[in-house]
Amino acid sequence: MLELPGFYTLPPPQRDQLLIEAVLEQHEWHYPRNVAYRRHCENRGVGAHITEGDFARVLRPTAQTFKSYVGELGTAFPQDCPVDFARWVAEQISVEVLPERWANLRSRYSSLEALLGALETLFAAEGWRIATSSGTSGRASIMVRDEETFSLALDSFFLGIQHAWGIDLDYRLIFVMPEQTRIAMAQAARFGTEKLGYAARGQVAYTVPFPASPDMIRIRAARTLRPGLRGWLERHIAAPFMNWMGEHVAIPRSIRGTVDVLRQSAAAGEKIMLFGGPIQLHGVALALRHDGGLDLPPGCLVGTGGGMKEAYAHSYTEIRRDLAFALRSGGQPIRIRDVYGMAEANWGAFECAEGNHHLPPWVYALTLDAADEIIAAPNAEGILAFFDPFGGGKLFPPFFKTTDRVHLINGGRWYDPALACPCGEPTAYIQAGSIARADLFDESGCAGQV
Amino acid sequence: MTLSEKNCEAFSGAGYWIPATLREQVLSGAIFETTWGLRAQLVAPQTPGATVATWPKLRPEGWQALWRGLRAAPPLSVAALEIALQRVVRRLLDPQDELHRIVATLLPPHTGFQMEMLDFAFGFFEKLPVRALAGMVNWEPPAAVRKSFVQFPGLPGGVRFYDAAPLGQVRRFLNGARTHPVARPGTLVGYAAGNIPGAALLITLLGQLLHPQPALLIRNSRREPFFTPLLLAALEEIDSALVANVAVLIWDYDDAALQASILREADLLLLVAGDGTIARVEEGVRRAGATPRIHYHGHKISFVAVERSCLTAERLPLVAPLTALDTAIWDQNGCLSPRLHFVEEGGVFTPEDYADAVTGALRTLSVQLPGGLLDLRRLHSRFDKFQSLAVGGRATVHSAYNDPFLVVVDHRAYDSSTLAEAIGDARDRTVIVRPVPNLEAIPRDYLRRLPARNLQTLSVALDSRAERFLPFAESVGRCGVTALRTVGRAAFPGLTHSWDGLLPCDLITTRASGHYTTYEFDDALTQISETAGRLREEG
Repeated sequence: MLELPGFYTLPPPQRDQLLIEAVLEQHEWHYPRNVAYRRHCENRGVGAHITEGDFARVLRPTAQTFKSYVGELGTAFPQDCPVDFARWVAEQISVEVLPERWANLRSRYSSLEALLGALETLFAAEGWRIATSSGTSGRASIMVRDEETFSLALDSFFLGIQHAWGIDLDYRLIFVMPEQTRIAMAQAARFGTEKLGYAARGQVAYTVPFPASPDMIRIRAARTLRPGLRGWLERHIAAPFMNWMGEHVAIPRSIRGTVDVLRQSAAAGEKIMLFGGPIQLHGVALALRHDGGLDLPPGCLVGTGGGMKEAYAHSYTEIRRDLAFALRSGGQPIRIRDVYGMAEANWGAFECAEGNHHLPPWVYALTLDAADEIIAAPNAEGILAFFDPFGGGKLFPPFFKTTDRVHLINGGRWYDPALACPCGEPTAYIQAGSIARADLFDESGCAGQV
Repeated sequence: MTLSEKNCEAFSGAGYWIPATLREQVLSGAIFETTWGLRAQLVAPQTPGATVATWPKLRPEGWQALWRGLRAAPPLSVAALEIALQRVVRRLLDPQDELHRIVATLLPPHTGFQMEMLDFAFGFFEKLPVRALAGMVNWEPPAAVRKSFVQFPGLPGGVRFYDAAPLGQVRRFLNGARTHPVARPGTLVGYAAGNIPGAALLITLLGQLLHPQPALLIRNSRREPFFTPLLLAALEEIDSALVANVAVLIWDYDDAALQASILREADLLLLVAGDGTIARVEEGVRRAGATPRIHYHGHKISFVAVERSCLTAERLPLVAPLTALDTAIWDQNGCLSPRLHFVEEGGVFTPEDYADAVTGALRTLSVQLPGGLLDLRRLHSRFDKFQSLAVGGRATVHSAYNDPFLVVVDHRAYDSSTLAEAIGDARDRTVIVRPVPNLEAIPRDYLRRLPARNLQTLSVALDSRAERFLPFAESVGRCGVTALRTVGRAAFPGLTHSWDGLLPCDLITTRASGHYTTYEFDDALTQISETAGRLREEG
């Protein structure tokens, strides 16, 4: 089986054919093993064997697949029904998990974090790591990855960072995020830097000083709260307190910590990659600008990820402008690049110098039209969908449709050299500025005045 | 009435209407703009498949000439209008007629609705009781309407008024607060939504009921700009006096000076629009220092209620196709489109049987009235969601993945957010059947949790002669429902009855704040049989 780096040298037609064949094989492998996936296929009249014409039907929605425990268990709090949740997890993965394995789970856990930790302990032999989406709605997607899948995810992310942005082992990596969290992107950063030796060499810093468990994120967002008195306390005591703490303690300390590490790196002449959410990075930019900015060695880079999930007074463009104003690298405005991804994906799409987000060559990406059918064209605007047969691991079928509307160039097997990105990378890419969250619940009824 | 082809590909039509006698003077020096539309979205010029609406930006002299001309229009005969409207609708329904050809060319691509749907829905205008409607303008509801439902004179059904003012109860006892006549509006300005065709035409017809007729200016929707201008043109061909006081135009809200000048002209504003648009117009009224009376028809949601007496071998085959029709018409994009189907348990057939029957009916209807504005991706996503709930026994899914609709029975426990989510999910021809232990649970457990100002129609399948009917109507009306119609008629309101809490008499009177709730039948079961028979004939 071809290793991920090998895909960078494959000509597009050969690469795409290889990916299509791998998707067909993966379907046949997962179908008999994965209860949830098989159910999904059966509901669509798709059987054990598929052709390329069935691709649109095997895609599962990212927004629902690993959040389906809420509907199936009837609660957003699986810590109240650990055994049912374990059964749900077992149905989501393509390996057999006998019920005896979770027989020792307690009847209830105090928090989601405690339950997920208990599951990781139970399945330590398989190397389970459980990640969540950012979960700002209070209903996080919960994904299990085993050792192989997790390792592939780390390879995929760090290979992408190195290939797209030139970040190698010489860099110091500064993450404006907590070290202790299950949020998929931060988890990948933590374990990836450990795997590649950054951590051992002291080249990593996490500058959000407090852990962020799924429960804390849920309470702070205050959109899904426990019923009864506990929910009242969450809404009226815990959430305001956490938000006050965030605003007055955690964020200022994180900004101070980031600025300190950046100054140390500048003084030591270290190349750095500063990475975080746009809003967090904006605080750093404003603090640095207040002090006249900072000069860093050549080759440094600011990476943004996660998008703008909260209401914020400044646009992403303004944030980038302020970052470029506050940070210089080798006397030039620092390179600022974004990464697009999601918790369910084992990959990131890295922004190039042209502003386009490139998908890794081992991902078969395409778009869907309003009829939920694949758009068979090299220049397509629709809902992004992807198959990741080589980087997605074997624990669950990595075939997903997102909720993001994008303008995708050279997706699927419709590669057109004339449309290749001017940056020279011969991969599918999302055109600059074209990513938009599809509006799932826009107003209907008499709202048609335009 | 013209149809032109732009750039050899896109068809173009007028997105405005000005009476022929005024056209030359009003349009003198005007600049013409174009709006490209495809499937109810405004799109970039030259978008393949899009159609183009043209509309003028008038000069100040043009506006003055327009107001002058509209106000100087001769009076019209309502009887003549009714006859002319019927003639125009017959043309509209005749595939050989030029009017039908133009509508069939412009509306399906621009609105996204298929021609079969448009043809079916246009029949509504043919049956519009214009003369009865004009008679209702002068009917003043008796004081008793504040205490209980009162029969309409000469029309089926009854009416009840709910006083929203804190002193309403006191007034009810004192019997003092009634309607008060106001000066008849000399100028009526309307804002027409474009989610379905014809809102501007309805506003026009309401204005024409008044005597003397006011000058009527209606802000057209770019989302559906063609239909009303085409029909007004056809009416003018019959008798120019029928529409000599009417203009339909598009103007930019952002042109604050123009917006203010129009609002200052209005004695009565009729807002059939989204809540966002209404808020903008209200802000415009405030800024302009204008003082028109305002009738609101904002964002609304509707429901279906099926009594267990209708879940029998005899009645379910009548009811299911009609509730399916209510869901399918306008691809569930109307304010009258039902969101949840409340089905009473304990009948011969169960809510699950009802869902099966509606599934079958929708399969048939999907052939007769194919969907046009359905988002299948969203529908599939919803299918997945309810399949996931089905795994946990919290829903049953009755339709198949390939069906261009979704029918489910939702067994989840509903809190306010689940209820809101379910209502939001009922789009793209999605039927969410909600079993209820009895009809009384509908207002008690559901409607009361929703904002009263957003409730509109409850389509019912029940025995209106049973004792429980009036108390039920009373309690849903109190929650904010403004109309009870029998199933199959949701999209075809009798304008003689309450429209979003307003009666025709509200055009010429003032009253305490509150809403009228009406039911539009004397015997619901008989009316359901009639509607079902008509649907079978048309099918």
